Amino acid sequence: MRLAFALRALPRDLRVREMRVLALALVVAVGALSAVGFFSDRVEHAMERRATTLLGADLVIEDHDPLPPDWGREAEREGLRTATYVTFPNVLVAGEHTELVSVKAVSEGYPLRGRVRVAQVPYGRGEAVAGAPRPGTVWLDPRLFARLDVAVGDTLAIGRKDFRIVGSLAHEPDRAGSLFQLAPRVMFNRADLDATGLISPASRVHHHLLVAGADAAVRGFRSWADAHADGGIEIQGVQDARPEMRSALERARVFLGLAAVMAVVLAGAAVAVAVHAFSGREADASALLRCFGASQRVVIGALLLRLLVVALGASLVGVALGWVAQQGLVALIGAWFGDALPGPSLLPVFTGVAAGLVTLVGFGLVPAMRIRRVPVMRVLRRDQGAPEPSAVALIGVALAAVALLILGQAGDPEMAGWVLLGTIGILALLGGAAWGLVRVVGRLRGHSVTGWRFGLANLARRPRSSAVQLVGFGLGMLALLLLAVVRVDVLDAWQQDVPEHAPNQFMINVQPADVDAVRARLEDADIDPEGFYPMVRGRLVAIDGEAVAPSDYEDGRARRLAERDFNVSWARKHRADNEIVAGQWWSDAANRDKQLFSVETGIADELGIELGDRLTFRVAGQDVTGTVSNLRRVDWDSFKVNFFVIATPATLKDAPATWITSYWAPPESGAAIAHLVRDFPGVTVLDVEEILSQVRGIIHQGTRAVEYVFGFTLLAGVIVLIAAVQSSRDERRIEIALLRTLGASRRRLRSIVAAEFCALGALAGLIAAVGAALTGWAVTDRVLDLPYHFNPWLFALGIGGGAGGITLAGLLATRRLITERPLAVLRGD
Amino acid sequence: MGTTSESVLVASGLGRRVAGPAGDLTILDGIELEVAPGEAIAVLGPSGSGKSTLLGLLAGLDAPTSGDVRMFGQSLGALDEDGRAALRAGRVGFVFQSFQLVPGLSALENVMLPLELAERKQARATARGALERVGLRARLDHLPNQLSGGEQQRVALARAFAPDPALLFADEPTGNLDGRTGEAVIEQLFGLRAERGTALVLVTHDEAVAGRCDRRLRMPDGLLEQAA
Repeated sequence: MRLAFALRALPRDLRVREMRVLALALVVAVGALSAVGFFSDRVEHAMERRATTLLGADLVIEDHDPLPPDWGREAEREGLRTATYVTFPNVLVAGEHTELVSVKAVSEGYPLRGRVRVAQVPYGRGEAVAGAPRPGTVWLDPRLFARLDVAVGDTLAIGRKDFRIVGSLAHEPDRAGSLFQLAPRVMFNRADLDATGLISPASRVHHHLLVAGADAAVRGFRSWADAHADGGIEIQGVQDARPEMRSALERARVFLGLAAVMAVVLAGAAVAVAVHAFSGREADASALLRCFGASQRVVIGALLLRLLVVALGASLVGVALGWVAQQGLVALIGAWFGDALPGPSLLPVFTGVAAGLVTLVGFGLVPAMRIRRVPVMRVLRRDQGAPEPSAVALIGVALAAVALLILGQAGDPEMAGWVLLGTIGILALLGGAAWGLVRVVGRLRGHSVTGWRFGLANLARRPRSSAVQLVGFGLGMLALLLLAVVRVDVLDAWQQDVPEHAPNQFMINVQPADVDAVRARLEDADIDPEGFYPMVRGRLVAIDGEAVAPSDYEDGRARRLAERDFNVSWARKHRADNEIVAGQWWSDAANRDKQLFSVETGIADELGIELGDRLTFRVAGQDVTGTVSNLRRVDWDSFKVNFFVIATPATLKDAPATWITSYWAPPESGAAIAHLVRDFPGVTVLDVEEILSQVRGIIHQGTRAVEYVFGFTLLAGVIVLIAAVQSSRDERRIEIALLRTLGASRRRLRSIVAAEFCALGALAGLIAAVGAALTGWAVTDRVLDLPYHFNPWLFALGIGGGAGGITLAGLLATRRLITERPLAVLRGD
Repeated sequence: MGTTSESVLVASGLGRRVAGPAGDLTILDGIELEVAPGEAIAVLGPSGSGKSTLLGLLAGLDAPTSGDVRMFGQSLGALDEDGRAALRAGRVGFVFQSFQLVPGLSALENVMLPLELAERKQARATARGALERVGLRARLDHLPNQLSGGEQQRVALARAFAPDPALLFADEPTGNLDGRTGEAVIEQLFGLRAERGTALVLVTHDEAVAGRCDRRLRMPDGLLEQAA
C-alpha cells in the first residue's frame, strides 16, 4: 500500500516547491561530490605524473649493491617501462685541474618522466633532449667548464675512456633531493661504464632502478617492492619527492575536498529546510490518513519512500551533472597537464548516489520524522500542526552524516574535524543569534502591528521559522562570503607561497674573504641576495654521548642523515621566518658564548633529538659538542637558505666555513653569473628555476580546479537562501492575504516583508562574516599552514550585502504573494 | 433595479467564469444587487452555488470576468489591488467561516490590525474596548490557537466592528461552530450591527439566520433571485 501510495503521490510531489528545492539541493551536492570524485581523481593522477618528473620516474629504487635481476623482471611483468643508472663520486683530471665530481651513468630510456635539458654553452637555458647521452659522449655540469678549463667539443678522459663533451647539463629532472650534497655532475651512457674501469667492488656506487607506467601497475609493483625490499633498499615514489612539491599537491587535494564538502554541508542545510517545510505541508494528508486508521509507520513510511525516490532520481542526475562538470573542467584546464588526463572510473557513480542518500538521511530524516506526531485532531482543528523536530537530534544526525561524507571523500580526519568544529561553531553562533534576535524584537510586540515594526515583531512571533531562516541565510551568506573574499585571500596566500621573485638560484662555497666582493658583484648585476650565511660541513656522531649509527634508524631519510655530513650554520640573531616552537633562542649575550644548538623540528623528530640533548658533531676532524637550546620550524617551501642545525657563533668559532646565499636572478643575468663564477672559481651556483616553475604550475592548476569546484558551493549557497526564503512562504501567504483584505496597501505589505528580511539578512550577514573570518583562519593557518590576513571588507560585505541581498531576495520571493488575489488564499485554494 | 447615489454597494451585470478541464465554467452570471446604508442582506444557497465567490467579488477580493461593483460610489473595476485595499481600509469589515485570525498575533493585536491599517488613533484602546464588548476581556493576550472556536469567531467579530465600518461581509460565520455557540455569535453580530448601523452582506445556508436580515436573496445556479 505504501509503495502504491508513494508512487501515486510522486508526480504531484515534483510540482511542490519544497520537493523541487530538495531535489535541486541533492543534485548540487551529488554533482559537487562526483565532479570532484571524477575530476580530482584524474587531476591528482595528472599532477602526480607531473610531479614524477622530479623523480624522473614514477618510482625509483636505490641500493648500494646491484639490484637482483628479478626486480627488473617484476617491473616488466607488470608492463612497466624501466631504466637504470648508477652514481658514484670520482676525481676528474684535465690538464693541471682536478675536480671531485658526481658521475651518473644512465641507461637508454633515462629519464622515464621529464626531460633533460642540454645547452651548448655553460649556464645556457638549453633545449630538451630525448633519452641518454650517446655512447662516447658526455654532458658536464656548467660549473665544470671553468674549473676544468674545457669547452663543448673538447675531449675529456674519464677513467680509462675518452669522451667528447657535447653539452652543458642545464637541467637534470631528478637532480632535486639533496641539492647541496651534489658535487658537479658528469653524465654519460651506461654502455660506456665498463670501459672507464672506474667501478670496483670497493667503489661507493649507488644503483638505481627507474620504473614508470600505468597507475595500477605502479601500485602493484610498489607493493611487490615493499615486500621484497631488505635493509639497504630505498623506494621513492611521488609522495616521497621534494617537500615543496608534496605540499603543493597536498594543498590542492585539501582545497578540492573542502570545496566539495562545503557544497554538501550547504546543500544539506537546504535539504533539512525543504524536508521540514514539506513534512509541514503534508500534515493535513497525514492527519487524514491517521484518521482513516493508518498507523504511524504507514504514514512515515510513505513519506520517507517518496523522499527516497526523489533523492535517488536527484542523485543520479547529480552524478550525470558531476560527469559533465568534470568534462568541462578538463576542457577548461586540461591543457595544463600536458598529456591527456587518465579516464575516470565508475566508482564515483556509486559513491555519488550513496552520498546523495547519506545527505538525505543525515539532513532530512529528523525533520521528516515529525510527520509521525501530527495530531489526528488536525482534521478538525487546522491550527494543530506537526510538532517541531528536536534541534539536537537534527544537528547530531547531520554532523554524523557530514563526518561520514568527509571521511569518505578525503579520508582526512583532521579536515573532517575542522569542518565539523566549524559547522558546530557556526550553528551555535546562528542559534544563539536567533535566540537573541527573537528576545530583542519581542520587545517591539504590541507597540504597533503594521509597518516595519510589524515586520520586526513577526520575527518574534514566529521564533522557530525565524531561527530556521536565520540559520539558512547565515549558511548561505557564509558560503558566498567565503567564495567572494576568503577564497581569494586563501588562494592569494597560496600563490604568495611561491612569490614571483622567490630565490631561483643558490650560491654556495663562497670563501669568507670573498663574501663582500661577491655581494658587490651580485648587486652590480641588479641582484639582491637574501643574505649570506656561514656553512660548516658536519656529521652528527653522538646524541647525549651515545654514538649515532645509521642502523639505529628504520626510516631511510633518518638513516641517510645519520651517515652523511650535513650543513650546520651559526648565527647570533634569530630569523623571523624561523618559528621557535620549543625552548629559547640565545638572545642575551651570556648565552651566545655557550655551546648551544638550534635544531629544525623535522630532523629532530626523525633523529629523535629533544630539547636539552647534547649533540656532538664531527667538523673537520674535530668533535664539537653543545646543548639543544631550542627547536625551530622552517618553511622549506620558501626557497630561502635554511639549515637543519644552527649553532651559537662560539660553538663553531674554529670551524672552517664557506658562505651561502640565495637570490632571484632575472633571466638576463646569466652572463653576469657566468663571469662571477669564472672570477671566483670556488663558488658554485645551483639553479632551482625549474623546480620553482613546476611548483608554480601545480599551484596555478590547483587554484583553477578549486575555483571551478567552488562553483558548486556557490550554487548550494544560493539554494539554501532560496530554501530559507521559501520556508516561511505558506505562513506569509495567508498573513499577506488577510492584511490585504483588511485594507493594507502593497507598499505597506512590502515594508513589512522588507523589515523582516532586512533584519534577518543583516544579522545573518554579521554572523556569516564572523564565521567566514574564522573559517578563513582555520583553513589557512591550521589546515594549509599559510599566514592568514584578516580582510575587513568581510563585515561591510556581510552586513550590507546580507541586509540588501536578503531583502531583495525576500521581496522577490514574496512578490507573487503580494499581488495574489486574497480570496483564493482565504478559501484555501 | 435602479441605482441610488446613497447605496454603499452596487453590483451590475456581475459574472465570473473559470477555465475547467471541460471548457469554461460559469460560476456567476449577470448578478444585479444593491445594498443601501444600514441594510442587511442575506444570500442563501446550497454549497457550491457560488455564494462565497459572489462575496469575494462584492468585497473586491477577486476580480469579475464581466460586470462591475461600485463600493461607496467608487467603481472597483477602475481600481487596482492597492486602490481596492485602500477603499476597504477601516470602512469594510469581514467575518469568515474559518475565522482567519493571524496565527502569531494575540487577540488584541488581531483586533488592532484594521485600526492601524486605517491609521486610527488610539488603536489599542479601541481594540481593547471591542474585545470587552464581545466578552473577551480575559483573553486579550491569548494567541488564536489558545482560544476555542467560538472565542476565535468573537475575536473576528471584534476585529470586524472595531473600526466602525459602514459595510460588513460575513461568510457563513457560524459554519464552523456548534449550534449554541453559533447562536451566541449571531446574537452578537446582529447586536453590534444594530448599534452601529452597519450594512451587512451575509452569506449563509441557515434560513433562521437569514430570517434576521432585511432582505433575502437565493442563489441557485449562479443567478441571484429575490427569496420569498
